[in-house]
Amino acid sequence: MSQGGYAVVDVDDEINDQGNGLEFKTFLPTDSHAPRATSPSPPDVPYSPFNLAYYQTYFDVDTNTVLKRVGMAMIPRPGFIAENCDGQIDLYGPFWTLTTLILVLYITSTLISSITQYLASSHASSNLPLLSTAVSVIYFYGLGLPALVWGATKWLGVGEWGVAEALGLYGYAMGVYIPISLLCLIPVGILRWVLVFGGAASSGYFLVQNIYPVLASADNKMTRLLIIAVIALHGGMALAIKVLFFSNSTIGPDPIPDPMS
Amino acid sequence: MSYDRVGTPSQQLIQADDDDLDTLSFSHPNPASNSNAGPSSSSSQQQAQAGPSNPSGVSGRIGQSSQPRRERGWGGVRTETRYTGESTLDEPVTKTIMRDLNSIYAKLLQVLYPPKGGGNNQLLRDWDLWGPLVICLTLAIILSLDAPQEQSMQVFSLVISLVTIGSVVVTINSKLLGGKVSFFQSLCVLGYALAPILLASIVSLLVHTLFVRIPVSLACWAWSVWASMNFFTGTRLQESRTFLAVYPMCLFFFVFAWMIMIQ
Repeated sequence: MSQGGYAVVDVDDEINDQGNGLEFKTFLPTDSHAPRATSPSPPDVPYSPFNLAYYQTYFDVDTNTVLKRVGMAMIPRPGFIAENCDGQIDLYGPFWTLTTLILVLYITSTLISSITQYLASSHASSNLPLLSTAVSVIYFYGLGLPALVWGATKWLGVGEWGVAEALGLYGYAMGVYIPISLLCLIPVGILRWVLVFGGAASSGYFLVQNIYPVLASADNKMTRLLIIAVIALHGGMALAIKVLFFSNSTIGPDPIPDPMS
Repeated sequence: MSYDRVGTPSQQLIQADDDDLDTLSFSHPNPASNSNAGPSSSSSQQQAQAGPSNPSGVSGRIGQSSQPRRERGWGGVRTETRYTGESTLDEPVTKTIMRDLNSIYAKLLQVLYPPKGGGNNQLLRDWDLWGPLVICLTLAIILSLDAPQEQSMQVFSLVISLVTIGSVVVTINSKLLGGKVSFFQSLCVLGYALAPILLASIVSLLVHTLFVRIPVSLACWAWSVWASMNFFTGTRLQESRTFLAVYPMCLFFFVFAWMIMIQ
C-alpha cells in the first residue's frame, strides 16, 4: 500500500488540478483564499447570484458559533477570520449584527428623545424618520463601504480576500456599538462622547488589525495608504452616530436639570 | 404500481399524488363504483369541514375517493373530469367573497391558535397573500392615524415597506439556514402572525395610557413570535440553529411593537 499509495495520491492531485482549471464557474475568491489546511471545503455549488443554495455556504453556522464570533469581534485582535472563524467567514452574523444595531439605535434614540420630551412636557412629534436614517446610514457603512473597499483592493491588484471577508469584518466590527448604544441611555453628555469614541477606537483598531495585513501583502507600498481612508471613514461614522442618535443631551435641553427649572 | 403507506402527514400527501397518477394513467378503476361512493362521502365531508375552502376538498385526493369523477376517451386520449364539490360559475358574488373570507379566517385561526384551528397544517399549504395584505394595510392605516399629522404619510409607507421587505428577508434567512419551507407559504404565515400586533395597535389607538400600551404591546409581540415559531418548528431546522431562525423574527415583530409603544 505504501508505494502504490503515493502513486495514487499523485494521480488524484493531477485530476483535481485539471478539474479546477476546467471549472471556470467556481467562485474563485473562496477557492484561492483557504488559509488553512483544515478549512471547510469551498462551495461546490456553481456560482450564480440567483442560486440560493450557493449562499447557504455562508450561512452554515450554529448559534454558539455566531455568539462566539460576535463576542470575539469586540476584542480587537488580528487574525479574526483565520482564528475565530476557521478561515470561513459567515454572513449571518454580520447582517443580523447590523440589523440589530439599527433597531437598537432606533430604540435608544427614540426612548431618549421621548423621555426628554416627557420631562420637558412638550408634546412634540415622534421620531420615526430616525428609523429610515438608521437603516440608510448603517447599511451603507456596513454593507456598501466594505464592498467599495474590496473593490478598491481588487482594482489595485491586492486581491487576497473575497468580498464576503470584507463584509464579515465590517459587520462584526459594528457589533461593539450595540452595548454602547444601550449604555448611551445614561443621560450624561460627556459620557456619551467617551462611550461612542471608545467604541469607535476599539472597532477601528479591530478593522485596522484585520485589513492592514491584506493591504501590506501588496508589492506596491502606496496601497497601504488605503488604511488611512478606512480609519477616517470609521471616525466619521462614529461622529455620525453620536450626532444623529445621541445628540439630545448636548444640543437639546439636558433631561436632568430640566424638571428643576 | 406498488407503494408503501407511510405514516407522517406530509408524506401522505405525496402518496396521495401517487395515487392520483395511478388512477389517471395506469389502472382501470370501475367508474360505477366510484360514482356511487363519491357523492355521499363528498357531501358528508362538506358538512364536516365547512365548505370547499378547505384545501383537502379542493386539491383532490382521488385515491381516497372523496370526489366523484368521470372518465371518457376521446380518440384514444383518456380525459377525466372531476366534480370539486359545487359549481362556482353561477353562484352569487357574496357566496364567493364569503368563501374567501372564511378561508382567511380559518388560516388566521390556524396560525394564531393552532389547537383551535384543528392542528391542521395542511390548511397552510394552500397559502394566500390576501390576509397578509389586509393585515398589513390595516396596521399601516392605524399607525398612521396614531402618528402626528405631518408624519402620517411617512409612517404609512414605512410600515408597508417594513412589512414586505422584512418578511421577505426573514423568509430568505430561514431558507439560507437550511429550513425546508416554501417561500410564499412562509410569507403568508408571517403576514398572518402580524395579527396580534394589529390588535395591539387598535388597543393603543383607543387607550392612550402608557401603562396599558406597554404590557399589551409586549404581550402581543410574544404572541406573534410564538405563532410564527409554531410554524417554523415544522421546517425541520437543526436544533442548534433554531435560535438563529427565530431571532430575526423577534426583531421583525419588535420593530412594530416598539412603534406602537413609543407613539
